[in-house]
Amino acid sequence: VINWRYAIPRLTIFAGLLLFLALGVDPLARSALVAVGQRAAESKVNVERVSTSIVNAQVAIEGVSVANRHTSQRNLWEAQAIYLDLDAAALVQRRFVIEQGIVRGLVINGGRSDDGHVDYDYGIAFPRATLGDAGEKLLLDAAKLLGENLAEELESVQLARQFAARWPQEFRDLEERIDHWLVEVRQLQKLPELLGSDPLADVQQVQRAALTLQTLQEELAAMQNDFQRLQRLAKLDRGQLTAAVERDVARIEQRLQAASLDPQQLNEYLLGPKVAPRVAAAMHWAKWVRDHLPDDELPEPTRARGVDVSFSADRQPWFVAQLLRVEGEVVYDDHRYPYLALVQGLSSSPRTYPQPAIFRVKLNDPLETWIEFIADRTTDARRDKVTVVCPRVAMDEVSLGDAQRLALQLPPGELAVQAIMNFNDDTIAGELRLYRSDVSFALVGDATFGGSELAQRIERSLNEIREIDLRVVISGPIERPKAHLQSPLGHQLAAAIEGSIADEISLRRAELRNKARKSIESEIAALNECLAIQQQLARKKLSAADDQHQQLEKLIASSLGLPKQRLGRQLQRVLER
Amino acid sequence: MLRWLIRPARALVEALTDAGTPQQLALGFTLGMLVGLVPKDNLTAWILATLLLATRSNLAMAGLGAFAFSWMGMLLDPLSHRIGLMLLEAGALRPIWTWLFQLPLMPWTALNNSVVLGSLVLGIMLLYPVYRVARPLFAWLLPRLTDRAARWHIGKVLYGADVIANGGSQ
Repeated sequence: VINWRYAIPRLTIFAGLLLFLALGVDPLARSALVAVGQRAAESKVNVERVSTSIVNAQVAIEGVSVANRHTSQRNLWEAQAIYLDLDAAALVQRRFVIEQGIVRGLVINGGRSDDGHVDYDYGIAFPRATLGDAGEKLLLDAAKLLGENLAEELESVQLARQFAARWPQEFRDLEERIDHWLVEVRQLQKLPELLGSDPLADVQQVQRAALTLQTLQEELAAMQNDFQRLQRLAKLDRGQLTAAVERDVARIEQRLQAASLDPQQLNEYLLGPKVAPRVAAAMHWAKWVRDHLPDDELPEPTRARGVDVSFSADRQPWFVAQLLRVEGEVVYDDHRYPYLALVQGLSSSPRTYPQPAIFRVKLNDPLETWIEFIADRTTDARRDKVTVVCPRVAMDEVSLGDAQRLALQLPPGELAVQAIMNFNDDTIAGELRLYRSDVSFALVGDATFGGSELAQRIERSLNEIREIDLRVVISGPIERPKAHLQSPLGHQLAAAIEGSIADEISLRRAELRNKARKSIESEIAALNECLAIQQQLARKKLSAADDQHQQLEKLIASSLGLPKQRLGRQLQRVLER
Repeated sequence: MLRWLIRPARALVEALTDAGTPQQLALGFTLGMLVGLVPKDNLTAWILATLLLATRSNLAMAGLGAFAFSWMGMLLDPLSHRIGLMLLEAGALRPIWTWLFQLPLMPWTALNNSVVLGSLVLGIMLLYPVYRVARPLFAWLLPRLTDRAARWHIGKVLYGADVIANGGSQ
């Protein structure tokens, strides 16, 4: 017989307790979740609803958002719904082990109202401007050098032309003086005709003739001296010309030396702009995840009253997510990009949990990206490894040089990018690799600059480069790492360009040297010929003048009735009178 | 139909207000004191509550004791904490605790918390003294409480309703 007076109130109270348990667990769990979350994130945590099934050890959490403690306007992350299958055996031990779970609509870095742009300043930049200047200078110098007419600038040619203009003038002046002298002599030859019956007048005529003869003698001596002086000057000028020729040849050699390209700078110029932002972005996200991962213990939900004492020898983390499948979006530059992620080994006590936490993320938009983040907190050191693979990254056209004159172009294509970075506390050591297989460099520009032969020569060399394989070695402190590009591309390009330009320049140099020599030699030959003619003419005229002088002396001597040998003395006497 | 609805309610009120014996009243109050002292966010409190319901004690006094000692328990937290911590940190007991807390559901009892363990031990220590004090007190109070309960408005209402439902047979 049931004593209802005893059973009814107790059953009623017990039913009430069960009802409270059924209806109250979810709000209690929600409150506990908010409290634990806020302690862990040190920021506000919102949970709209929690549904638990104790029998099935399942939990569904809806409308979760965790504010970013650094920026209250942003959510660190928010999720539409989280469905978790808990390990019942662990649950009776008051441990929350998620055997598997699904997180839907996980938005990372969302909910901001301010500018979403992040400036990744890690000091990773490659000096494109400097290299651009160097590369362009090389190509443009080569183009200019190969396109210009150096012969016009040769000193020896200029000098030869200057001499060729001066020497005829000098000799013409001498000839004019000789001609003038001969006219004077001819005038004097008319003396016998002028002598007549008037002795006084004759004496005056003879005196004048004697004076003129003396002047003519002096003039003749001066002209002979000038002729010899001109011959000496011509010899000196020839010496100058020879020295100028040597200088010209040396200058040609110097100017046509092929400039050199730094392969490293070439790598940085061609690939740096593509690489630097990707390295910085990878660094940023790796750092972001590191900053938001618990380094030590995720605080266990504790009671406000008293102290909890642990007795477990092999202490287990109170929270473990063995496998979580996450579907969500990441907000980047005000755009939302969907992603899928798998999280393994996330625990409240990373140091005691035997395996590191692993995050694998796949993004399809804006480009296919696979990310694996391994956060190893099993030791005192914070060791993380980030692997990022982007199999198809669009690469814009890259141009080196001036397309109007001479430029090297790499058409657009797709790069495969892989980054492996190891973080050890606050230092980083890693490598970023870029690979492109469909490489085909092209040379564009005006044919007059360097000519089609140079273009063909460079293109033949460039055709041997079929791939880009670039490694960026990153090392140093996380806040200011150093990045160093390593690629055979720079060497290949430098060798192709420099080799082609050097070959072309060598060819041009020989041509130009020959051309210059011919030009110089022809100018010098013309000058020598001119000099020889002028000298011959001057010499003939001087000889003729000398003959005239002899005849004039005889004539004057006979006019005075004196032997030629006594003409000098007689003339002297006449003059003294 | 009306009878089916009213009779259980009347029985519940009678059960709650039924004074019973002074021993039942004292037991209810004493167990209520134990439940009241222990913090409620753990399995220990729920087990104690279930035990209380399982005994033939006065539930009204149990509720009164639980309510009163819930507040008093907070004031006694420093004492409970010291007792609990002393026991938890006792080297001799450590193997027992370690073994105990490996058992399923034991972590939910929160007995590794100094205040929970301390208040439980304090409550157990106070069980007999409180019972000894409460029993003569309730023996003196019982006749007065019975008279007063009979005059309570709800009792009258339920009694009258039951009579009407039975067609005035009682």
